[in-house]
Amino acid sequence: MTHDTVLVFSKTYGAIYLLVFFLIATVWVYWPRRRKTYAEAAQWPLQDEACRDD
Amino acid sequence: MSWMMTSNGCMNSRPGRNTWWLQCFGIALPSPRTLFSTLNSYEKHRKRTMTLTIERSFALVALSLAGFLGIAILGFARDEMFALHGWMIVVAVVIGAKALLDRFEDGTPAMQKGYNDRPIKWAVIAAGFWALLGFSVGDLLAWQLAFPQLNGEAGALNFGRIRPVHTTAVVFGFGGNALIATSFYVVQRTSRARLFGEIGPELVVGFFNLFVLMAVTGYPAGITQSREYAEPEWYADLVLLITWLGYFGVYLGTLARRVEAHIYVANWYYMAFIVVIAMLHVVNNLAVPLSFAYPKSYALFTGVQDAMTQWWYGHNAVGFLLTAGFLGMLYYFLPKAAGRPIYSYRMSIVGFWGITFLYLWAGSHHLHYTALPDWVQVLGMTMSIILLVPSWASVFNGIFTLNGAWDKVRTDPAVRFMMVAVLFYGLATFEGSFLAIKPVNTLSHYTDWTVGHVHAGALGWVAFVSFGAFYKMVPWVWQRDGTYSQRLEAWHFWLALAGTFLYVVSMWNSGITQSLMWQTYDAQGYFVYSFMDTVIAMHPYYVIRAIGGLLYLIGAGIGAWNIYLTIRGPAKVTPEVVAAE
Repeated sequence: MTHDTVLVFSKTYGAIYLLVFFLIATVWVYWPRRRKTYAEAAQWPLQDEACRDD
Repeated sequence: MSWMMTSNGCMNSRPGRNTWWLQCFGIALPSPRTLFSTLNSYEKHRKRTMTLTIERSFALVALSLAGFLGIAILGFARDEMFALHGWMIVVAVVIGAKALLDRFEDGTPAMQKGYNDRPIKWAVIAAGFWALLGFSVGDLLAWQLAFPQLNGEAGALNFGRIRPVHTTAVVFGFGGNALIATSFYVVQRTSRARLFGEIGPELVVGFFNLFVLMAVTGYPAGITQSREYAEPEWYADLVLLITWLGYFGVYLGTLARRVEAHIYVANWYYMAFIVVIAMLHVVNNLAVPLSFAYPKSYALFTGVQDAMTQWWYGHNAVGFLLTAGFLGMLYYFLPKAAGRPIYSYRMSIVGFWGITFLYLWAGSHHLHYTALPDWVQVLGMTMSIILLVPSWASVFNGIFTLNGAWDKVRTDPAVRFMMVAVLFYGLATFEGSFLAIKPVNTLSHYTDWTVGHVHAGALGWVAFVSFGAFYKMVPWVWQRDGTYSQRLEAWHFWLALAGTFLYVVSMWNSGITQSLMWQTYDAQGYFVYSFMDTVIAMHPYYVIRAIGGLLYLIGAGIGAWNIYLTIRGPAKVTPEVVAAE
């Protein structure tokens, strides 16, 4: 891989790749079906923390 | 019918009422629920045994490798400090091997139940020790800069020799141990599972501190590879590499034993810290050792590639050790202390991906206007500016988490520490993005402004969130009713805050003054001020900085005393204890 190849990738597909990844991550996280999972997880530090794998 | 497992793993059965008709034919079958429960407990027993077998194998390999390294150094070393480091490695391996043999002398024991807080306690004590050492040396350095005669005869206590002692003690000794301690606490509580392995977590803490000890004792003797924040030579790097793989294994193994499918977001940040630090450490420390006789090695990279590799490492050490790891700490201890869930859990996940992907590109802003290709500099600048978005998402998430619990900021100094830490995180990340802009960098680079920026993050963000987390975690881990004194906590807070402000503001003034003096020309285009003029102009700021550092150190001393008295104090009275009495 030459310096020019990296440069071209950086100026073209690199930015697209980051944007697409960000959009996928955001849509994934805010997908309505996952609301309950995340709402429950947010409560974990406030709940009983007894070790349950005994 | 209920089935029971005996100590040797065999299963016995007792007859039950629902299968009476089968017993007429001499057949005893368990009910589906009992069968599932039995298989489940058998599976757990098998997993526990397997866990310990895996741990024992890996610990033996790791100790053997470290032992080989230590003996080789002892056998060939011609440098006194290098030989001493060989002894340190060998002694640590012997202690580790003894602990391993003691634990396994009766064959493979059953894995213990409940949370394993022993390594957390060791890491907390180590963090306290390195914090006091690192802050003390840091303040000595500040006085040396204000009064150069304190440097002495350019010996072991010269600024150049002990500056890395300060950075290694605070970044790795204090910050690293704080992260190991809190990550072991958080991964167990949010997974509702005991740490993976019995001796492995303690070996991780022990060998990590061996690495820090070798580093800080080596610098005054001149053992350094001169890479900022990566000064330790190849043999210490190898010890850290083995330790870090063990840390990764313990963390991943614990997550694999979690009882819920989802992994709590704090663990994502801790995992990013562990994985990325491993990657950075390996790449930036690729070097060819001279021999086993001397500690010296030569880096594989040269020229601008060397500079880029170093600052890719340096900036991401800030990004993943001093940011991602401590955000993990914040996302567990702030909600816990405030009694409120994270304001937006989903925002914390989006912030995680933003920080993870953007930070890795930002390191080149340390090399503006150098021989680095211009497009790489612009890329670093652009990513640094975009990085402000996920950073401030975390800031707002932290501040809004306190909605409904603002009274605790007034009444609980630990919550106050964490609230102010979030504000300093917001300040430092905004400043970081701002300084990365190339025209701004022409003013700030190579001046004390950068030093002020780093310390706004280190003193105000990293240390404050650690102090807040420790004031909460220590009583929980040692099972105390609370800290020894909230009044001492408050004294610690105000001294630390005053010290941070004095430090940061004096360095802002110093840096901007320096830069303006350096860039002042007369009508003929000659410099108006000599370099020595700028050094003299810095003196009052350097004295103020040293006083700020002293206040911070006194606060940390009070904090350490408070933690010590908390540990020494009476155990918490639980309902079980009351019933027993």
